Amino acid sequence: MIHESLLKYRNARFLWQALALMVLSIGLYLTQGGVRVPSGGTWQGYILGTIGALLIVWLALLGVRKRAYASSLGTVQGWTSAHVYLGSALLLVATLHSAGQFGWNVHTFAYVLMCLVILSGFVGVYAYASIPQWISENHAGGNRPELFSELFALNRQLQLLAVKSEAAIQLAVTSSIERTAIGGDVAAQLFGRDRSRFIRSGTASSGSEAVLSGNEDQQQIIDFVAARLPRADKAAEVPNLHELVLFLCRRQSVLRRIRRDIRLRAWLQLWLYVHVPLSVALLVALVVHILTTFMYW
Amino acid sequence: MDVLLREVRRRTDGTVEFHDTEFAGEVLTIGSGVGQGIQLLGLAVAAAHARIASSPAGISIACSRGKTVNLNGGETKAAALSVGDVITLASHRLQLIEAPTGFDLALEIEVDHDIDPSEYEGAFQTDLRQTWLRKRPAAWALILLTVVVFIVAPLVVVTLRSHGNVVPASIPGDGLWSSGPLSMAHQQATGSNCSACHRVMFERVRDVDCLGCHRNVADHVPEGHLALTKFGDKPRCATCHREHQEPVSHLIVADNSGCTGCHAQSPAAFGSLKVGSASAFSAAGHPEFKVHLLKPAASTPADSMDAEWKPEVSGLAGAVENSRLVFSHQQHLDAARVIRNSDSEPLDCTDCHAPDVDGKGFRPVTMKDSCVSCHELTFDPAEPTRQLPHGKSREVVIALQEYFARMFVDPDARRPATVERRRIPGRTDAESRCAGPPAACARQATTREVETQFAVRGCITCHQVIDTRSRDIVERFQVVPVRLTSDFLPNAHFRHSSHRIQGALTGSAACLSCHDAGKSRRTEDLLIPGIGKCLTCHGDQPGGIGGSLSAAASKPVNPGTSVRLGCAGCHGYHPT
Repeated sequence: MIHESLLKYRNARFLWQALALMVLSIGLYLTQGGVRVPSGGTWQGYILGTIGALLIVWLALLGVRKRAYASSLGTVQGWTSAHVYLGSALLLVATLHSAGQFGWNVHTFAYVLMCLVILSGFVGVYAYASIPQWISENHAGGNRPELFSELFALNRQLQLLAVKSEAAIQLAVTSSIERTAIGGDVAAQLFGRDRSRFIRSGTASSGSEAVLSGNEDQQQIIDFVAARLPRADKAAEVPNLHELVLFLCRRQSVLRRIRRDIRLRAWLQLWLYVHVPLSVALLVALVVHILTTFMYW
Repeated sequence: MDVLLREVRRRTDGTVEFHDTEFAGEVLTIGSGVGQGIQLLGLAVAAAHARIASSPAGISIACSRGKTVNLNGGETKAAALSVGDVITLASHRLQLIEAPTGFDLALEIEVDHDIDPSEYEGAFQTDLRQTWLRKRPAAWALILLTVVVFIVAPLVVVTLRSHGNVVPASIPGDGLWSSGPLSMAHQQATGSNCSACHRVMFERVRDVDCLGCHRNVADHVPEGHLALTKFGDKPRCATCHREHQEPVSHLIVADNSGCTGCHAQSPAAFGSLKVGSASAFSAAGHPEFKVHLLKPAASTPADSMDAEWKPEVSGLAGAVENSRLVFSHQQHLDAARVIRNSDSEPLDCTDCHAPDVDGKGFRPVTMKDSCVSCHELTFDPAEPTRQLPHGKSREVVIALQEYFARMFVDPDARRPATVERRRIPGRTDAESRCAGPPAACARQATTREVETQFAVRGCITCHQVIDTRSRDIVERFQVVPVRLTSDFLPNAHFRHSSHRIQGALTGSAACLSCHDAGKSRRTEDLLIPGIGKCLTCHGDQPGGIGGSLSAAASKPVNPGTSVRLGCAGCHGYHPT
């Protein structure tokens, strides 16, 4: 898998480099003592801070490198592998730089931003390591354009069949197609709650009123049409109803795959909506942190 | 509104087919969703993209929020429509044509069948990018927040304050730049005003700004002395005094390295200054103590009344106390010889050496506080309430003169016969031995008593007395002033109250475990213990012991339980 090899890129060479950096940082931190109380203000603290700041800037440059398609400065895969490992090491480097001194100030603000960026990055690593596999498994029945083409065709097919049915069935089927909910806002995409509906009405003889019913996972419309099978007025209606149920079930299966695809892709992307804006804010907070440190030296 | 929808289908052979359908309703909807009046596929076509409606003013089109259609070549959100107008949506084409009779509107629709049915996805929101989530606006918002809260607001507050304006504390000021809380004293003294210390931006806090308040702090070494060494400039105040380092206070960094940086170096580094080398509180790392003793200056005679006394530093071995007092600790601690007046118990150390209020040392030993309860200055057994004054020999003689003059001259001054002794009735001992004129008798009695007090058993018991052989009895004897050293080790703090218990020993036994007073017969004995004594309990490492010690008294109390003692445990940096 391509995303696994992100971590195993060239025998995880960046893992070892990151570990070496962490060991060096701990060693440097431990040389503090005596009158040099561990803090960001000792010479060791300044070195750790400089390493951290350079790391942050370099890590942010992944966003530039990714878009520089013509660049031959390492592969994007290599950059991403290094991004992950050195970004993880940054958590330790910056913590050692802070020496555990936190407060309500710009310095801790920058640190918290950094932690959030790194933690969202961890979520991203997990997402990239696991979700693509689930997406391709879900694509066994076709990728998303294929699924939507099929859905479109099924809709047409069902509409044609519905026309040949009695009014209640026709209304129910066409309304179930019109009111099929796919995707939607953030929560709908992430959690895939199905707000599909259809209009349920009685037969012409019973004359009951039309009601807007829930149609989660298209199950109710299938049940509604299937329930009509044993009570078909005319023998000719039965094959039509059979076909309707068949197509509705195929449609149900296609919709399930579409929904799962949307949900998985949303989760695959979501962390970036945290990671990227916070990274940009972190760059600014970093500048403010350095500036104010030396303003009131 | 009745609408004629005419779908135009161009066949491959160039012929054109029209498929007419009718629409009746209030609003004709256009979009990619199922159930739209006109369903047009395309990723750019929203589920409900636009609506065509009729009103008395005419036919018009209005797009959903954020959507547009191309009307006669220009993008538009809403517009009035007239016959001949061409609406393009994705690559589908709709043209208003003359409506046949019975219709309000006729639309010629040319659907682009090359658009793949998969673009039906355009009818739904299937990607997070289509939701309100945005990376760029979020980033800008966070940048704005950071800059405003952490740069702009503090700068505004600092500027306002510098112009004397009062800014509510709730507004974030330059306190947001602080890397940690101040110590409470500094917090109060500066009133959280950063620029009280950080006077110049981008410059480290200057010593002069510390000394603005701490005016009485003296340098560790006079600058002239420092110039003799190879240590360069004196360190900044902030080298040892580190602010903003909470939660653990480091206002005084009392680590040995601050001292040993210089003091562990070879004497050569000190140039012409004589400074012993010290690297740790251990037998090998710390020199033996040196005591400061008061000594008569060489320029004046040692036994003179006017000797000038100066403190002199000398090694502990062979050091001799020179208090001019005659005193035996051994005798006073001998229960067989000395007991307390009040309860007839042996003396305790504290009977004479009363602890100071701060618990560090002791109040000066004085005649009044420490001696007189036993050593009364009575001189006439027949008059046990009469005491000689203490302190000035001249006053002692005058007091005796007055006493005897009155006794021989004033008949009413005669004492009641309180002493059972055989004597001439109506006469005292002194009187009974003198038969001359009263004035001569008084003088004779005075001389005899003065000689007794100064040379036989009075003052001479404890003091050094000079017999000037002067014929004037008032001037004849002079008591050499006592010079007690109050602090033998002035460059070290030692808190006696913290050391009142020595293992199992308390009270005088604890004192005697360090100060060998029980064997001291001479005033000259110096009862200050050496470093070896301290090293029985203290060392440079917690749990360790100071090093191999030769002194017998230096056996560790409990090996491995040594209490760590850093330089600052005993020594101060700034001279007081």
